Amino acid sequence: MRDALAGDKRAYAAALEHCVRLLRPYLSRRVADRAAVEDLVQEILISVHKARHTYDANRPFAPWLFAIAQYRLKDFLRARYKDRLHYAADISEMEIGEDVTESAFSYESIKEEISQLPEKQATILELMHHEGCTAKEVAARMGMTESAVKVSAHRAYKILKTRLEKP
Amino acid sequence: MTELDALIASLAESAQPVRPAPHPLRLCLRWSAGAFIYIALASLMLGWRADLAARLHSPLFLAELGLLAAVMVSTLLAAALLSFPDLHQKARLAWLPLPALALFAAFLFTSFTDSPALPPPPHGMECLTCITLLATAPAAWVMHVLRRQASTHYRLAGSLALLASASIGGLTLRLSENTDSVAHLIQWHYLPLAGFGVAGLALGRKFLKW
Repeated sequence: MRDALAGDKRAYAAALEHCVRLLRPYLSRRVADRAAVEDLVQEILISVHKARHTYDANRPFAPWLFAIAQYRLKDFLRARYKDRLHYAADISEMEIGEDVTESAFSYESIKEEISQLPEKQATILELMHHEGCTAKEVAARMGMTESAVKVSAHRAYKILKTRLEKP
Repeated sequence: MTELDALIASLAESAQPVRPAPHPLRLCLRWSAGAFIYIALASLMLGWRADLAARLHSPLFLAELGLLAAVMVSTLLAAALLSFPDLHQKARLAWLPLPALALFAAFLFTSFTDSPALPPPPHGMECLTCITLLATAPAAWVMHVLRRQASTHYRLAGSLALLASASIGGLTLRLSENTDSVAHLIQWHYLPLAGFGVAGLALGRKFLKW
C-alpha cells in the first residue's frame, strides 16, 4: 500500500485485490445476498480510493480498511431495512432454493425451525401465519408497534432462510 | 474480465501519488495555534477589557480561561482524530473532550454556588450573537479541512468542530467583555455550547458525509 500511495499502479492494483480478498468473507457473513456483497465490495473499493490519502503506511492496514467497510455496510443496511420494512416478505414468498416447489413450504412444514427461533419472533410468526393475524393485530396483542413487528418478522425470515438453505 | 476486475483496473490506472493527510496531532496543533492567534487578534479588534491586567492575576479567572482552552484543544484533537476512518487507531484520545467538559462544568457549578451573586449585565443575546459571529471563521476553517478528510463519524466530527469554534468565540469574548457575573456567563456564554454541539451534528451530516 505504501508503494500504491506513491503512485505505483501495479502495487495499487495488487493492494485493491488484497482488499477484495479481505472484504468478501467479512461481508458474506453479514449480508446473505451474493449480488449485494459484490456491489458492496465495489462501493468499498471506490471509498478506499477516495480516502487513500488518510491511510498512514506506518499503521496496520486492516483496521483502516474495515473502518471504511463498516461505514459503507451501515449505509447499505440502513437503506435495505428501510426498504424491507415496507415490503416484509411472507413465508410463502421466500425463495428457499431452486428445487423447492411453490407449495413445499408452509407454516406447518417449518414449525420445528420456527420453534427454535427466539420466543418473540416465533410468537409473531405463529400469530401471523398460523392464526392469520395482520401485523397490526399482532402488534396490538403483543404490545409492540407495527413497525417493530415487521422488523422482527423480517429478521425471523432471514434466520429461517439461512437455516433452511444449509445442506 | 468481471465488473470488479474492470473497476480495479480503472482505479489503478487513475491512481496518482497522493499527499498523505497530516497526522491528527499536527492538525490539532495547527488548528490550536491558529485559534490562539485568532483569539489575540479578534480580542484586540474588539478591545481588551479595562480590568484585564488585574483579572489575569485572579486564579479563578485564569482557571476559567485555562479550562475553556482545554475544552477547545481537546475538541480540536478529537475532531482531527475523527476525520480519519479508523481514528488514526487512537480511539481513546477521541474521548478527551469528555473530562475537559466535565471539569469545566464542575468549575462553573462551583463558581456559581460559591461566588457572591454579581448583578448580570443588561445585555444577554448580544453575547451569544458575538460568540456566534466570532466562531464562524474558525468553524468554516475546521469544517473545510474535515471535508477533505474521510470521517466515518461525520456527525460527531461536525459537532466537535462547532464546539471548538464556540470555545474560541467564548475565549475571545472573555478577554473583551467586562463582566464576571457567573449566572450571565453560564446562561449566555457557556450553556449555548450545547446548542453549537447539536447544530454541529446536523452540519456534520450535511457537509462531512462522503
